Amino acid sequence: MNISSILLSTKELSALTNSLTIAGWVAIITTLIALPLAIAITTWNVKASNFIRNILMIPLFIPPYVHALTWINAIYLLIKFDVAQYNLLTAMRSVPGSIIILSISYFPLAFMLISRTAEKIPTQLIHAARMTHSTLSIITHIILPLIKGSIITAALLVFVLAFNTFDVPAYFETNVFLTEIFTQFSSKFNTLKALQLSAVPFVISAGLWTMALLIPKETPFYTTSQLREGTKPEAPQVITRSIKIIIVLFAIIGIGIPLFSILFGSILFNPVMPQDIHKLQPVIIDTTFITILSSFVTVIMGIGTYLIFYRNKIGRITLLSLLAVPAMTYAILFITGFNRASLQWIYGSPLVLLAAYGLRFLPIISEIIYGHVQFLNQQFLQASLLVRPIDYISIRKIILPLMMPALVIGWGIAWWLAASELPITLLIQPPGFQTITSRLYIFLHYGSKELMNTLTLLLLVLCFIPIIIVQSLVLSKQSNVKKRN
Amino acid sequence: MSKNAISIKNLTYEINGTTILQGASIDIGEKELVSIKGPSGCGKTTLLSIIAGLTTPQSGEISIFNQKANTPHIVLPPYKRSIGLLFQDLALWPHMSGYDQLKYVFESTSNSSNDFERRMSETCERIGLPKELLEKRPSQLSRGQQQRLAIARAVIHHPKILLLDEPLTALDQDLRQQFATFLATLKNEAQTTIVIVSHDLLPDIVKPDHEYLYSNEKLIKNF
Repeated sequence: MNISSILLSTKELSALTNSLTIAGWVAIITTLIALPLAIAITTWNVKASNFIRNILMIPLFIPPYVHALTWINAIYLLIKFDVAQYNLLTAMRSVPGSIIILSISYFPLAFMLISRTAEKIPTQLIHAARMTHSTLSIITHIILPLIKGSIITAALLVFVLAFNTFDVPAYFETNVFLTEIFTQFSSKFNTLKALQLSAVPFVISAGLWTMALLIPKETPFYTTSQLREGTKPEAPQVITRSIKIIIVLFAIIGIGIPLFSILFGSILFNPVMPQDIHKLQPVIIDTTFITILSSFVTVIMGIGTYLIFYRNKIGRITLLSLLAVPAMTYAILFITGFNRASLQWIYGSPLVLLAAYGLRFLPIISEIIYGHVQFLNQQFLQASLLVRPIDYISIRKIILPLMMPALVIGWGIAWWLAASELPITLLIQPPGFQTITSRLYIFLHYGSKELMNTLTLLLLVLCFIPIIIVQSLVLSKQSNVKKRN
Repeated sequence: MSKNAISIKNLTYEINGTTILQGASIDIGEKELVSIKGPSGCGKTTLLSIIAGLTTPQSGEISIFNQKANTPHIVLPPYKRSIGLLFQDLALWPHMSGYDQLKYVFESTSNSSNDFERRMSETCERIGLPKELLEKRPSQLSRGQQQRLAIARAVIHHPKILLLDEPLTALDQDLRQQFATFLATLKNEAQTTIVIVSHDLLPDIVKPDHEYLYSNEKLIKNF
C-alpha cells in the first residue's frame, strides 16, 4: 500500500467539499431558524403552541428522499402549467437544492432538541430576571447560556445526519463523499479503500464532538422545583406575527409541497389504485415488519449503550462520532463479517437488517436518553434507593416512568429512521426481502414511475404512525389528568 | 449502655477540591433527637446523604446500629439501613400521586399491605395532611402540602432512623407545632432516632438531646 492510496484524489476531495458544504449550511440554516423559534415558543405564551410544535415536527417524518421527489414532482407540475421555467429544475438539482431539502428535513430535529431544553428552564428563573431586565437581555444572559449545550448538539447532529444523507444529493446528481465510498465498494470492488474513506467523516465528526463536549464547561441544570409553573407573559404582536409567518412558510414547503405533489400528481398522472397496493403487499409487509421490530430493538440497544458507555464523555464522543461513519460502511462491514456459510442464518435473513439498523441508530437513542437524564433530579432515584435496590419493581414504578418521554421519542425516531433507511438496506437486504425505500430507489433509477406515487404515499403513512400513536397517548393522558382534577 | 444508632469516625469528604468534612466524628445514640446547625453551604445536607448511603466519603467509617455501613466505601446499601430521609428539595416522584408514593415506600420495606391503609391514615392525621390530597400529584399541591407529603413518605415505613433536612420550611406556625408533636411521638413511642438539619427553631415541645455545630469542617457538640 503506498501513500497515494491513502490520500484523496481530486474527485474525492471535490466530493468531500460538496458534503461539507451541504452539511455545514444545513446545520447553520436549521439552527439559525430553530433557535429563535424555540426561544419564542418557550419564553412567551404563544397561542396554539402545541399545535405549532406538532406542525414543525411533521417534515421530520417525511423521509428526505420523499421531500426531494415531491419537490421535483411539484416543479414538473409548475412547468407543465407554465408557472415555472425548466431552469428551476436545473437549479434544484444542485448543492443548493440539496441544502434546501435537507434543511427542511432536519430542521424539526434541531427545533426539537433546542426547544426541549429551553422548556426545562424553570419559569421562576425567567420571572426573577424579569424584575430587572428586558426580554432581550434575559434571552442573551439567561436563556442562551443555559441552552448553549443543546444548540451545539443540535447543530452537530444535523451536520452529521446531513453529511450522511446520500440519497438526496444522488437524486440531484450532486457528487458527495458517500457516493465516492459507494463507488469504491460497488463499482471498483475496493473494500479497503471504501473503509479508508469512511474514516474521514469519522475523524471530522470526532474532532467536532470533542471540541463541542470537552472544551466548554458543561453547565447542566435541572429543576428541583415541583411547584406549578408560573404563567408565561403574552407574546408581543411582532413575535406572534413572525411566528405565524414562519409556521405558514414552513407548513407550505415542508408539508404542503409533498402532499400537494403526491395528491395532485397521483390524480393527474399515476393514480394510486387498490390493485397497486395489492401488488406491493409483500413490500408493505416486509417494511412494516422490519420497522416495528427494529424500532424496539434499537431502543433497547440504545438503553444498553447508554448504561454501559454513554455516561462518560469519551464514550459519548466516540458513539456520537460513529454516527458520522457512513451508513454504507456499516453495510460493508456486515457484508465482510457475515457473508460466510456459517452465518447465513443471519446474513440471509432480516436479522442482518435488524442488527445493522440497531448499531447504526443506537447513538441517537443514547443521546436522547442522555439529554433527558441531564434534566432529571437524581434525588428521584435516591429516594427509591432508600427503600429498595434497583430491581424489577423500582425499574417499573420509578425509573421507566421517569424515562418514558425520552424512550417514546427515541422509539418514534428509531421507527422513522428504519422506515426511511436506504443505503444499508440497498446493500444487505436479504434475498426476497425488500423495503419501500429500496423499491422506490430502484423504480426511480430504472425509470418505472407508475407505482412511485403509491410507494411514496405508503412510506408517508408508515412514517406517520408513530406521531399518531404518540399523540393519542398524550391526549389520553391529558384527558385522565382533567378527569382527576 | 445503649448502643449507638449512628457512629461516624474520622469522616472526610471533598468535592471539586473543596473540603466539606475533615476528620468529623459523631455518635448518635438510639432514640436520640439530634440537631445539626451550621452556616449555609457548609455540608449539612451532604452529611445526611453520606449517612443515608447515597454519597461515598473519601475516608472514614460509619456504623449503623453497630453494623459497618461505610468503610468508607458503601458496604451496607441505603435500603438496608432502615433510614427515612426528608430531602431538602423533597424529591417527590412527579408521575405518582401521593397515595402511590406512600404505598410504594410502605410495600418496599416488607410491610404487610394489609396495614397500609391504617398506617397511611395515622401518619397523615399526625402530620396534618388531608387524605383527599393524596389523590393528587406533587405538581398539583402547594409547597406546604408537598412538604407534608414528603415527610409522610419518609416515615410511613417505620424507619429506625429519620434524617430531616430543613423540615420546617413552608410550614406555618400551627403545622410546625403539629409536626413537633409528631416528632416527639416518633421519638418516645416509635423509638426512632432523629437527626434534624434546620435553620428554624424547633417548637419547645420537642427539644434535641444534643446539638452539633459545624466549625472548621468538623462537628462540635454543643452542650
